[in-house]
Amino acid sequence: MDSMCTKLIQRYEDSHSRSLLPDEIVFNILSFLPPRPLYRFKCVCKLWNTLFLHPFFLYLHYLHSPCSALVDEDVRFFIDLDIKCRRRGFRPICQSSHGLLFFQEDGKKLGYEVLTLEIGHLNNCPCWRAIPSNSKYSDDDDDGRRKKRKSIEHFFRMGVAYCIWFVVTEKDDDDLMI
Amino acid sequence: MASSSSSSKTGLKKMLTLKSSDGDEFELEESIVIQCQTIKHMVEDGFSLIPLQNVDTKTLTKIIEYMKKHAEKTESNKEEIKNFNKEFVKGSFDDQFELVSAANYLHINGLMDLLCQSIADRINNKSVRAVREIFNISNDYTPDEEEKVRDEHKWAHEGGEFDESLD
Repeated sequence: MDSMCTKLIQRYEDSHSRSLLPDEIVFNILSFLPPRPLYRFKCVCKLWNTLFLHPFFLYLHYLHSPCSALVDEDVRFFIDLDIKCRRRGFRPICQSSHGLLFFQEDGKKLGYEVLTLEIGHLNNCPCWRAIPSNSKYSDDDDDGRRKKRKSIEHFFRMGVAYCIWFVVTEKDDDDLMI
Repeated sequence: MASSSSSSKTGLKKMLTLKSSDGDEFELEESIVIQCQTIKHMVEDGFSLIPLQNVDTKTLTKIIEYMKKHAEKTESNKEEIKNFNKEFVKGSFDDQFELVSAANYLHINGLMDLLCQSIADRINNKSVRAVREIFNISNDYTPDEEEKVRDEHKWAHEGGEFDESLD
């Protein structure tokens, strides 16, 4: 029995000859990535596929990507639309896991759209449906922005949307620390 | 004369000795070393010789270089520090992984963020296969399973060629 254990350990060590980073550090590295490569790297291995289920990873991702917040239903979230998103270019991605919030900059105004996943709409394929946005609230005054944020939070509390992405088109190092 | 003035100078500053896993010793001012949370706690507990069994000489030399530079940080040399950081993160993935492990062990938060960000930037456009090689991860999917995961997030795999190189 002992020799079998030794053999197994030996085999494990052989297959991991190069120093493996602990998951904690790998999560830390990956948390600096934007959504697109993160979704691509779901194919790397099963652990990387389940990244978004780990609260520790979600927390790190939220900390490290000032403009790319992935928020789980259970995680309290607060998005500062004014500081983090303003003056940045956002573009929508076409698909995400649960819910999706598009931000697209249009001049000085910040546009957004909350989408929800509907199953059985087209040949039983999942597709996205836009939740009517509250365009009556203006971005120009504090009150409008506050109402807008409240309405987004409302969708999340209702369980309509689970994750939000802010997707950045260009990266500008100097801009990251705003 | 010169030696007495230099010794009185060092007399004012508390010195610490860091010992690498290879047994090499490095003497540094406390003010530089306390950027590292792990050592800071040891200093508070009264240690002055600090053995670092998880950090070899090569990695420790790099880390000391980082701590020295960042101890000089002021309002006026931001550009210089930025350039230093840029140079610091060049090097092979294996070297960066050694450094990131040490930074994690020593709890040097600034260095941890710098290294993780730079590694993330470098793998951003890599192919799935290249990332597996770089991180030495074995593929635990069957070909069918992998295809399924790829199909679920097709959009993430579109948009041109991904980098297959391992550096």
